Amino acid sequence: MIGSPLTSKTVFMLGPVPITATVVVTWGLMAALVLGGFLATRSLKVRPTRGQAALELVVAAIEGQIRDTMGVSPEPYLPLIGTLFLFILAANWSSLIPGIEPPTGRLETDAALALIVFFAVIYFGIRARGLVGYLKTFAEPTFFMIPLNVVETFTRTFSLIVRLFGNVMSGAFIIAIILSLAGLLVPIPFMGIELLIGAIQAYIFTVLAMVFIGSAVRESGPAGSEERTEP
Amino acid sequence: MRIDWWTLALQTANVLILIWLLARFLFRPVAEIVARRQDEANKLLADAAKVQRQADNARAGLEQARADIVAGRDKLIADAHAAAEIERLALLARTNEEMTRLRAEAEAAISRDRVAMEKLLIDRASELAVEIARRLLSRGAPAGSVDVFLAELCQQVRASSPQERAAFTREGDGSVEILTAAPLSPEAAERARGAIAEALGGKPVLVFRSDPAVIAGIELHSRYAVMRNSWRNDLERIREELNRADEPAKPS
Amino acid sequence: MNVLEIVSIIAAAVAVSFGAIGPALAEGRAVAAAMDAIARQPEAAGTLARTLFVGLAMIETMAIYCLVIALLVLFANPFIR
Repeated sequence: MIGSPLTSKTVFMLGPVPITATVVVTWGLMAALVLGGFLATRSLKVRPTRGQAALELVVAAIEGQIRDTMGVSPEPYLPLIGTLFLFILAANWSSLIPGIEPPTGRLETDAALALIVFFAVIYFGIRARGLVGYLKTFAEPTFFMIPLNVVETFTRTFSLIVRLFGNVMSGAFIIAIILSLAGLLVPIPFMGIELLIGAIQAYIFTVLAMVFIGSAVRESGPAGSEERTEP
Repeated sequence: MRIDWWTLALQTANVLILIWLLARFLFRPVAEIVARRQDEANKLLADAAKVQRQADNARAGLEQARADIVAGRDKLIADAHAAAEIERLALLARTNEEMTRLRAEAEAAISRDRVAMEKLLIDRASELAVEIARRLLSRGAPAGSVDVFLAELCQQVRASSPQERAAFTREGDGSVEILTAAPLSPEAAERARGAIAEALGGKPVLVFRSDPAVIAGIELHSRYAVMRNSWRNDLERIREELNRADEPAKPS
Repeated sequence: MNVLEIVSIIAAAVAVSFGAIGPALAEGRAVAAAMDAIARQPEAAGTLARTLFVGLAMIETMAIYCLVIALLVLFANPFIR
């Protein structure tokens, strides 16, 4: 009836490397995003047109989120955070295109995203505080918290993976089940909910990434502590 | 459960490449254009601020000028006041001085006039006294003698106009009184009657009467006319003269 | 169909059903609290709605975890060959 949502189909082999459908879809999304960005930024003017105003609104909104959540200047983090948000959003919404499975509904893509966040936290933390300063953040608030903090660093990454994967995959899965049951018009409200969930999950993933990076970068403060305790 | 490690690696690479591409083609141009617009806005603001500063400077200069003008005006007013005060004081002093001087002059003139007048009066009085004395003394005759007065009276009568004489001699008008200081002796009376009748002419009715007020001399009193040659008459004339002489001296 | 498969299916159903109870109660409380807040402060409805959706997604993640476990048990059970 339905294939396992946990396995990927291999489309073709590039030498010894198996290219799965997820990777192909990701390439398509990349091409679309880059092309869209290139076209949108090709003729930027000081006096913005309507499209340019919308683009700048999106970028300014992301910058504002970074500034609010991390409490630091958004310039070094804007490409990473913005790309994460745009890519996850595009990937989540790509499930609306018939015959395309969202890349974020595959464990490998989510793991890749969480891995990037994991290393970005370390990179930005070391860049902002130095190696020793970054390692000292594991001893906050007390010395005995070191094992808990180390474990938390991995569990929160795993939590990122599973949250995004579970939401997107379950959405696509439910839509597939309902499609197989009812057919024509019934899945449309579920698709609407899926749109909303996709946007929210993209936002949550980005915000959590910002919180992790911010807690590593910022001098002190309990920012995002409630998100960190969340599994 | 099977993780496709190749897919994981490819996806990681894909996302990294996407981050780089989007940073290259999306975020950096947008950030640049935003920064450029911010620069232009800042430049505009700076220009506006510069213009405002210039305006402020100009206004400050104007206010300074106005304050200078006000200060100058105040100073002018104060100077004018001071000058007017000085002028007024000087005028006052000059006026006071003038008034004092005028008063002094007036007082001097008054006193001088008074002195002169007094001197004139004294001169007059003395002159009059001398005249009185001279006249009285020029009679020569003794006071009791009527003859001298009679002769002069007769002369006077003769010198008078006929109408006056007729007033004495008119008929039916009573008598002509011959007034003397003391009653005359009969021969003296006879002499006087003859002389007067002769002087008057006609036939006057002559009556003798004595009156000490005459002092000395002889007087003719009729109903209509009087002819005098007596000290009383002389004294009265002298008094009249003195009165006349007093009049111009009175206003001082 | 051996016993292991039957147990796996039952375990998946139990995981989803019981895993849905907690998030359902939590979401109910969250929505009730948000309604109360909106009733008190209607002008903050936009911010409250946005925060509510994010919180609901967070809570829903619990149920999603259970669903993932159930799917793992069903489709990627390492003990079933």
